[in-house]
Amino acid sequence: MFNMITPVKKQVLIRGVDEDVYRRAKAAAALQGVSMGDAVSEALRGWVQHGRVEDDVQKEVKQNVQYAKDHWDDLKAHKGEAVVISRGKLQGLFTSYEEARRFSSRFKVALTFVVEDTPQTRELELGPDLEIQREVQP
Amino acid sequence: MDQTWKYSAKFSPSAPVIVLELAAMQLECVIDTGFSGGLLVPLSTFESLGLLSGLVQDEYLAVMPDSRRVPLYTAREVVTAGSSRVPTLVHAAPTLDRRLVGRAFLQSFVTTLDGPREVVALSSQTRK
Repeated sequence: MFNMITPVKKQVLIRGVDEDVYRRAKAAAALQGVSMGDAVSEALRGWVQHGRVEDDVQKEVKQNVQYAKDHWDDLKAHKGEAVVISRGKLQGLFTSYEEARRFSSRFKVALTFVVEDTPQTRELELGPDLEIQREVQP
Repeated sequence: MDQTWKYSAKFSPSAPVIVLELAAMQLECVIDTGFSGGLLVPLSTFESLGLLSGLVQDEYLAVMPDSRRVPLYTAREVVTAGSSRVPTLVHAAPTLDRRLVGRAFLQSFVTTLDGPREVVALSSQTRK
């Protein structure tokens, strides 16, 4: 037998919700036979679990990646050299990756790479974390 | 020569794992052919190995089964599996607390899963 725990439900008034998103969510919820309360709760649960709040590391990584993109034309002139980008700026140019890596270890967050191809966004497939758990009867 | 590892009994049924060495740390990783990357480790491991200071310039996103895209921190490292040393992309994200070895790593090897004996064998073989 499954243990069913009914969550306590609360009435809330939320200001500033995007009208178009709300309309589409309402239509999707109706199609799936889900109440808006359950749909919003599910969305908020996902938001809390997966986090939208960027921490300092994420911010710095973005800053460094943006620097590499914005300055790629300048960096291209150093093709074959290793660069270290940290704190949103170029920290050094090196003749070898190993040398650059030793230097970059003084930073908490840094991009360290040999200048070759233009930075790209790549996607990786990741399967679900499927573990079947058998509920043991007491 | 083959490197072999016993399946991990931490999973039920037991799961094929290989023990890799990354920056002098031993990591037991589940073989996951559904993962197209090299190595996925928890962010705490990634951070403690100092990999945040060796990130690559490309941005990597993990496409989840529900189509969500999760940004990954990615560093290029040399990973040791038995007697083989393989340059591999190592990935981590705050919301992915898994240790997986994926297809990008496995393509360097012939991997055999022997279910009845619960043994994983990895052997290097040059491509024809």
